[in-house]
Amino acid sequence: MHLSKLSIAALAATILAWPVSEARALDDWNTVLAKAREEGTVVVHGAPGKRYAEALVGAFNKAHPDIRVQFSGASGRVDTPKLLRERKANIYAWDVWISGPSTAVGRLKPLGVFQPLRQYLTKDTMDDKHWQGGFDAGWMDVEKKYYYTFDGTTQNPIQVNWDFVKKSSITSIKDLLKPEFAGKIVWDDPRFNGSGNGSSQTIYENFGEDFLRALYKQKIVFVTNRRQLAEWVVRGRYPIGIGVGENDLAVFQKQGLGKNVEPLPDSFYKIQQQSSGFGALGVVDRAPHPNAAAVYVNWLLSKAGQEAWAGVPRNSRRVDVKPGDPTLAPRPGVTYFNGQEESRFKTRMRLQEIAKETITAEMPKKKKKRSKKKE
Amino acid sequence: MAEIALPPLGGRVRRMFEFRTVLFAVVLLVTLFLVLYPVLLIVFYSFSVAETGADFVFGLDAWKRALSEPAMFGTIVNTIKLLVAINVISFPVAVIVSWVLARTDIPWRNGLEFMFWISFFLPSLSVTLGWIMCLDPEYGLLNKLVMLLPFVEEAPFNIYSFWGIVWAHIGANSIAVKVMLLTPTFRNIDSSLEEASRVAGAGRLGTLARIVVPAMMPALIAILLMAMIRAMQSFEIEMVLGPPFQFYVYSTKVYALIAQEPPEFGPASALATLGLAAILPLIFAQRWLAMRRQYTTLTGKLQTQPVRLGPWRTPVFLGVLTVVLVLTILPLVFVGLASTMNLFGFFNIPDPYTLDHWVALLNDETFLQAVGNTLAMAGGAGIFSVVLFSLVAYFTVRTTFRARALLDFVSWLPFAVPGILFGVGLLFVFLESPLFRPLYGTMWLLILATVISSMTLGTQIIKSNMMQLGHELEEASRVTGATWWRTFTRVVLPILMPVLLLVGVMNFISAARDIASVALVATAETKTLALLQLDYMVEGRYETAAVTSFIVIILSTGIALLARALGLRVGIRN
Repeated sequence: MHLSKLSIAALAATILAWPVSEARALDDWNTVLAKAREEGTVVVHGAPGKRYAEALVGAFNKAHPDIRVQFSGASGRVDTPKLLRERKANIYAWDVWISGPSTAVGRLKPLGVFQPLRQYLTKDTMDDKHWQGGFDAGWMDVEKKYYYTFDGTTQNPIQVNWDFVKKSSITSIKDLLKPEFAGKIVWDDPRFNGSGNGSSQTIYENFGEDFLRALYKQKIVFVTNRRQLAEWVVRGRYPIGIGVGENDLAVFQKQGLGKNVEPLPDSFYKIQQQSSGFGALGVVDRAPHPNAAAVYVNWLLSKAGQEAWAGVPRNSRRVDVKPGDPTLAPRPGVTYFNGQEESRFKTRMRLQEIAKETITAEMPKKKKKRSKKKE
Repeated sequence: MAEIALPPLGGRVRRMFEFRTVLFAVVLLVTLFLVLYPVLLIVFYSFSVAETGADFVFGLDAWKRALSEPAMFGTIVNTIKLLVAINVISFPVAVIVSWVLARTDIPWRNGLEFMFWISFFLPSLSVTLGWIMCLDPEYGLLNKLVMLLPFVEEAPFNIYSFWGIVWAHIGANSIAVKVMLLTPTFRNIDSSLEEASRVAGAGRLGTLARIVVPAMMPALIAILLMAMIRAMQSFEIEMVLGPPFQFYVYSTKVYALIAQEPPEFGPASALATLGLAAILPLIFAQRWLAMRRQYTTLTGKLQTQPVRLGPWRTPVFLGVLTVVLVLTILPLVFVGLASTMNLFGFFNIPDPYTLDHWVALLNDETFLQAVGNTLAMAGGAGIFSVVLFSLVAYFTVRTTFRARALLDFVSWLPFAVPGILFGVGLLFVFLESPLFRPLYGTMWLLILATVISSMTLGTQIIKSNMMQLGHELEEASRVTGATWWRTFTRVVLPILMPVLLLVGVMNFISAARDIASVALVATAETKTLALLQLDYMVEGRYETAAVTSFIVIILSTGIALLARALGLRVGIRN
């Protein structure tokens, strides 16, 4: 391999800038903290929405008022291309990246966006006793060193408003293929990353590709607006919802609406999904504030940080933190998988392709039938 | 269009260094850099198979992907059907309303016109949600009301239908934007033309159809074209109302590619390039139509006597009032309601109303920062855009520089490329040019982004008004010894001041509402109210988002009122 002088210089600079000394410094937490205060800022990409901002910014500010969080809660479709273009222009602006793991491990990690995380963490943070299944169970990348999930919320793929559906009419998930449910199902669009895609994955893991394809043909309404999805299920306009966000549903249930919207029972599945949601993190390569980043990630993975996260509400993988949403805590006797792990990334992408093929192939037929009805 | 004769002393070299020529060169270069360069980069990267951010690797994958998008033909047909339906209804209504407001003695016409402005400020998503609340086939309030009638058994309206989408567009701002643009243009017509027609025996409508409308042709064509191109890029309404009956349009396809994580900019750029190619003939047709005839209506002998409506005054007033109430007050009520409800659209919960969303937002520390950012960005955009667009418009229609056609063409591009893709182009430009990299992350970049995104609309409005302007005023100024610059600033611009104010206010409002163009170039420090609103929308907190909308509307209305007051103070009639 031929290396230009410039590449060698860049490599040397990278090695020199590599925070090995910071990893050692973590043994001396006070030194890291002092340096972090000198840096004064930590630049964080986090989950969209004010609730996440309250957890990821407000709570940290209370714990470390002298380190300012410069926070972007823009969606990944905005910040991901921005990060990549900046890096191409040799601008290294970000310290900590908090997001759903799929894009982070599937797209960003291969481009060298993250640096090994352990060197930023204290021994206490990595202590197995704090974490469900031990600390290592949280790695999302195959190397188990770059991207780590602290979120352990389970996912209910299918919700039914029983005010509009007889309980006896669904005794297994295969009943959803009955003609009476055609046109009664709304789905968070599984052609894109998100809970709809995650639900497809659970259905696929349990019932296979053929079933999934058959289900897509049930005159499903696919939406990308999550509030609309939850509202339609609550109102019974489409009484069966796939990929409905629990938080979106909770907005209605808090007001006494949709009380009979419930997930299909565990007994319908062989295996269910424990999703990370937006709850996974990595430290960005050439982070401009490495000490502040260390303080931030250790705080977020601490009991205090995870309690703030639980306030979203989400569930932490830390065993000493009460679940933010107890109904979505792992249930005994149920086997779970995390569909956002890197090892499952290809399956997830393939499922998006299957959705694209099947759904769009159905579109013209449906349209004709509808327009006839209209006439 | 004849250029004002240059003094005979000037040779080629002299002309080259004349102030006007230098200024033209600067305007052309700035416009090419800010508009054409990002567009070319978007097209260029549609031929790359590399990941976003990686070095260019030639390949046609993005184009293959774009061209093989399933049901593409159906979406194009849907787009055309929708464009035709919306404009066939909204355009004649807008022409008649604008003429009534500008040329007749209808009472309270300034107030009515101003209400159309408010309608334009209203966020289309909030308005659409409001119409769902009224016209949903199952729980729509209007449907329920009509079904109280003994002979009505089924809900008569369905917002989730083709005509539902058409109605949502008309109700959102399809009519309002046209009225805003057409009314000042109608005002510039010399009333002697109408009087001559009436003397010759034509009726009021006959005069409108045979005299006024043909005289306004360039403005009408430009506005119709802008409305059609804009409707092609609109996706918010279709995204909400389309899925239940599987209705997709071109823009929802482009949006779907961009909305992925990570976004597929390659195929989206390829589709946008195809869209651009489809729009190009329309742009050239507009230019050809505009240039082949003389459209001067505003001369030194301008008379603007209003047409007397006589007994029709009250019925016409009530008709326009009804239109404006449906377009403005009803949606304003929706937004207001949304901001004070626990759950927008649910009146049957135990405690439907609350001020919690207002309290939460006003106590949010990011809110005040966003207000400051919005005022700085929108204010900067409003001022800078008027300067740039008036120069672009002037050079395009009132000079004979060879490159003016290029300038005209480039000024159309921001309208033809989806905002978020344009944001990508700007990101490329400012990150890859070391000279401009320091602007990255600053408010200046947001100002530039919003100025560019409103360039087509603003330039075309000024341009169509300049085309109505006769040459004798400028000639008189030059004959008395004034320089070109003095003539431009002391004669041309003051005559056009109402329209410049309109453009400035519109650009202020557009910038304050803009999400697509600024999303990629804003940082946590430069977040605007519109981006804050987006955060709430993403989270499903429509009610808090409605509070943000309401505040943007109040800010915009305040600015519009200020502009009108300022206009009246300096002697501008409207």
